[in-house]
Amino acid sequence: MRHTLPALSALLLVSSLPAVAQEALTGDAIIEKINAREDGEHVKRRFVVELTDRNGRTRTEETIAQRRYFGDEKRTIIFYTDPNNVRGTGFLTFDYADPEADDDQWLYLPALRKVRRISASDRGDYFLGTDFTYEEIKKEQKVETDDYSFTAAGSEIIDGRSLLIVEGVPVNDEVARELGVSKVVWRIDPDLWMSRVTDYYDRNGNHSRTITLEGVETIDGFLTTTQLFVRNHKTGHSTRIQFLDTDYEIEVPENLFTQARLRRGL
Amino acid sequence: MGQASEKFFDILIRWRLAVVICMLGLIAATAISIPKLQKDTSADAFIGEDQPALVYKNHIEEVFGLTDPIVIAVIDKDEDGIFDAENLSLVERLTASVESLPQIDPERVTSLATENYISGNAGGIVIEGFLDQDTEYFISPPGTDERAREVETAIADFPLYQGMLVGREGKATLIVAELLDDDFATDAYNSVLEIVANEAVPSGTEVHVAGEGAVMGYLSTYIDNDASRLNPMAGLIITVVLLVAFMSFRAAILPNLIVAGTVLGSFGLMAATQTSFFVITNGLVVNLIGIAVADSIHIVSAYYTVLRDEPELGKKQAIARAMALMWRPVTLTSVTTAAGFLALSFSSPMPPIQAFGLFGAIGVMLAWIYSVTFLPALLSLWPTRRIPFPFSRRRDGSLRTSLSERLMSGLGGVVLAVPKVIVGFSALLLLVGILGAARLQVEEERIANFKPSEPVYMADKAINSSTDGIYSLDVLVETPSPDGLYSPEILRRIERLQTYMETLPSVGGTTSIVDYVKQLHRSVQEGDPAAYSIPDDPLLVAQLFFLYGASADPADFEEEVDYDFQHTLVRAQISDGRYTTNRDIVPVLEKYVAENFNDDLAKATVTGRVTVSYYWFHGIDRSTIVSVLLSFTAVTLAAMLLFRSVVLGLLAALPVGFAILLVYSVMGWAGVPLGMGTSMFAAIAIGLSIDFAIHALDRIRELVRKGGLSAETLRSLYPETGRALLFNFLAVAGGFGVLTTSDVPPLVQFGSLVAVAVTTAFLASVTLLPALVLLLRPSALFNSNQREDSNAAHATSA
Repeated sequence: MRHTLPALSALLLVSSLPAVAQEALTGDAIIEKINAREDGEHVKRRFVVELTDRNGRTRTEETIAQRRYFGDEKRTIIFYTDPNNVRGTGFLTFDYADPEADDDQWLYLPALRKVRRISASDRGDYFLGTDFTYEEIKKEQKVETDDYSFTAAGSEIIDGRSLLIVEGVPVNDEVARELGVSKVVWRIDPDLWMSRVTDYYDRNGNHSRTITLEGVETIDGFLTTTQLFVRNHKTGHSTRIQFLDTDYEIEVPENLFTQARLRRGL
Repeated sequence: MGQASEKFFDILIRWRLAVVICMLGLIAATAISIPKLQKDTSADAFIGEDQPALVYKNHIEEVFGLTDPIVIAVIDKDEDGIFDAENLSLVERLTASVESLPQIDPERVTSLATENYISGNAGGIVIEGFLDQDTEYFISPPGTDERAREVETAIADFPLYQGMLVGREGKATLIVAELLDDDFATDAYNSVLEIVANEAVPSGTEVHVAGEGAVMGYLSTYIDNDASRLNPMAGLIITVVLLVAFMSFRAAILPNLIVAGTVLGSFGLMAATQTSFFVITNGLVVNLIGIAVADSIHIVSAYYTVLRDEPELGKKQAIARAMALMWRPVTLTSVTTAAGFLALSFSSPMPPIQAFGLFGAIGVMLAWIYSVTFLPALLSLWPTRRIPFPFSRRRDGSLRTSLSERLMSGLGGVVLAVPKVIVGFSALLLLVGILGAARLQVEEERIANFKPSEPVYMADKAINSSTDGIYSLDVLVETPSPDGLYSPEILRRIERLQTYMETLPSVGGTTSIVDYVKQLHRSVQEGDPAAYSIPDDPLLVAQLFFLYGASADPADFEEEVDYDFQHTLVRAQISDGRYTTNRDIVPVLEKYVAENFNDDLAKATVTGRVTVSYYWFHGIDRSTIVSVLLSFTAVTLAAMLLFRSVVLGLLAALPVGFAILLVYSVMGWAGVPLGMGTSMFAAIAIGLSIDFAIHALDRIRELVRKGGLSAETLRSLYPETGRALLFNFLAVAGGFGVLTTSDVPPLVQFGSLVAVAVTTAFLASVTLLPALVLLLRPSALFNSNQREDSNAAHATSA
């Protein structure tokens, strides 16, 4: 057995050469690279969410969101600033690294002046009325490797960029049900290691949604999404999120992520 | 004119090959689009596209994404009802199977396995599925009887789901699956049936499949079954009638060609004009078969009589002479029949009936064209001029008399001997008829389109008796600007509307966003029953919905409220689909809504399936009267023009009026209501019935002019014209009689009523009509009109 090692090492060496590398990368390896992207210990930013229904009517919501890692655990606090009727509404989430563990979520309703714990959503449920799922918001364009088996499926040129195609199929029925998908196709820009166009297929195999990366910038040294668009092909809804004033350097104190702070509001 | 018309047919027969080619070309040209014919089995098809009720319903489907669902009911009438482990796991399995069907929108399947319970406790609120794993509120694991009992308790505490998702008695629960597109109804229905058939249903539990989607799917199968059975049967019947009447291959085959040309042409034109093949269109095929053959019967009968009586004439001359004799009555009967169909078409508000009338009229006129051109050309091309048995002379030269001829002659003898008795008896029948017709009721029920033994009928009845009802009545509430529905004032108004709707007959229960608001409000107040109310703060209302959206799928109430919280649907479930019930609900609700939702804060409109059905049928009594009067006036005028006499026109119309009145009377006495199928019969029966009177009166006039008016001269009416009428009647009655074997009850009613009307009209034309002529001695019969030709010269009785 020993004598095969040099051969393997040689192979690995070859595959890390840039030109050939992309051809030889497996689906898992590509996803690995996506998930390796650094996203900062903490961040503060504004979300401007533009929701459009099938009749072309739009509605805009604005929030201020802060996020901080506590080890593997990720905590997020979001306050709504607009529209007026939900102004001051706050949303606090503890995302645990273990995908089996249900996340903890609390909501503060200013009209009620009370914090309410709310039951965890399915990962495939839509996030706060948008066309993004909780999973997508939480993962910030990364992918849970345990959910899918990945296959590299060549490349495709979109808008003059050669993108790597990876297809993912849920590993079992439970995951498929939880996420509400039967297949996901990522088209990954090898310069960014982010998917530019992602297609989702529902459990019956219908093309259900397409997520398009519309803006990306390097802020404070981190590759940062500035605009994301999703179209739900079945409902005709679409959602565009702009991430504004992203700041990785501003202080995001640890004691921000408490129910008491939620109650105090913005 | 007799000479002129005979000359015309002489020329036509000389150019017979050209005529045959032209006519084959016409048949091909009209029939070419047949493969493009589209089926439309939806209930909405019966309503004009611009009908406000339908426009609104479609608008709502657009805003709320609602389509007509297929409803699966799981019913268990034992002690614990559907709340046991077996039944709930059946619901879960059925839901999963149905969600995976390609015709179904998996996100628009509603059942105990998909819906969420909303509850509150000290710490917060819990929104989770009734049958989910890992729940906070439900303690026992899914798949156990303990869990089933927990679900039962939860439902008892959640008014939103009582009555529709689960029957109030707890004996039934529904799985409601929306179609991705109404066009998938047939496939979806069949797939759902297959799923149910392959399920292990616990003993004591029944599973039913119903709903508008199911009905559409079912009707589509009906159409195919009906078409493949009724049409050959009608063809067979007329062929038998022809063979019995003429005992001749010519007379059996050639009219069938006319029939084929007529039917192919009518349906080809239907396809070419993109008119759909509706549920009732099957009736038209059979009608056209019966009608198209009638002209042929009279023409062939005249041809054989000419051949027999004027043996010196060649085949072509005999055909030309027979045509000269028959073109006028054949033309006029065709015009009157077409007038009947057109009257139906113009007076009905329902597109399928409009199409039925229009293409019926087109078919009648096609049959006429083929009968007066194609048929004589084909007859002249037929190699022999043999006179078939019923028309041939015995060796001694005397006329043969067939059974049918003797039968009609015998009838004539009796009628002409006692005309006063005949008229007196008719007057008595008329009186009974008027009394009966006064008892006529209007009623229509869509599910009554199915036989009670059909699964879809039984499903409808089972669901309506164990839940709040399968029919939906909706009120669309609109506010002038987005977020208007957060206003507690509006919500309280909706709450009062619901209370009012629940007082209406057959309304089982109502649902609206107010039910969600109250449940959510109670949940955030630690489940305090006193908080099951509408909050006073609009901001809190908005935030309650935000809360729901944050912890469950915000699409859960997209069927109740639109995106901007500007439009909302208040839905009542109704367990009775009869028109007379809808009539007691829709107008009063519309009045309530007009009084309470008609200001700057909110407007509301009554809509939904029940409203559409109501408007669909609303005014059927008026439109029926209009169509009957229109078609009766049309045929009477046609008869007056034909006979150039008001008196003779009225005489010809008499058997028709008599026939229609008697049918209404039978319906009145027997309690058969005026519905969709039964409202259609009169206009068509009028157009068909007048034919008998026209043929009979035309012949009577000839006889009277030649031999004076006496019982003796009128006797000659019976052997030939009487016999032809008998076979004409048998063909038409047979054709419509076939409809009584249809799988679609309205067609059965339609067919049998037309058959009864035609029978009455035939009998009245050969009994009451000659009897009246004998008693009244109308002078118009004697006035030989100057312009009138003397076709009588060719009259046949030697």
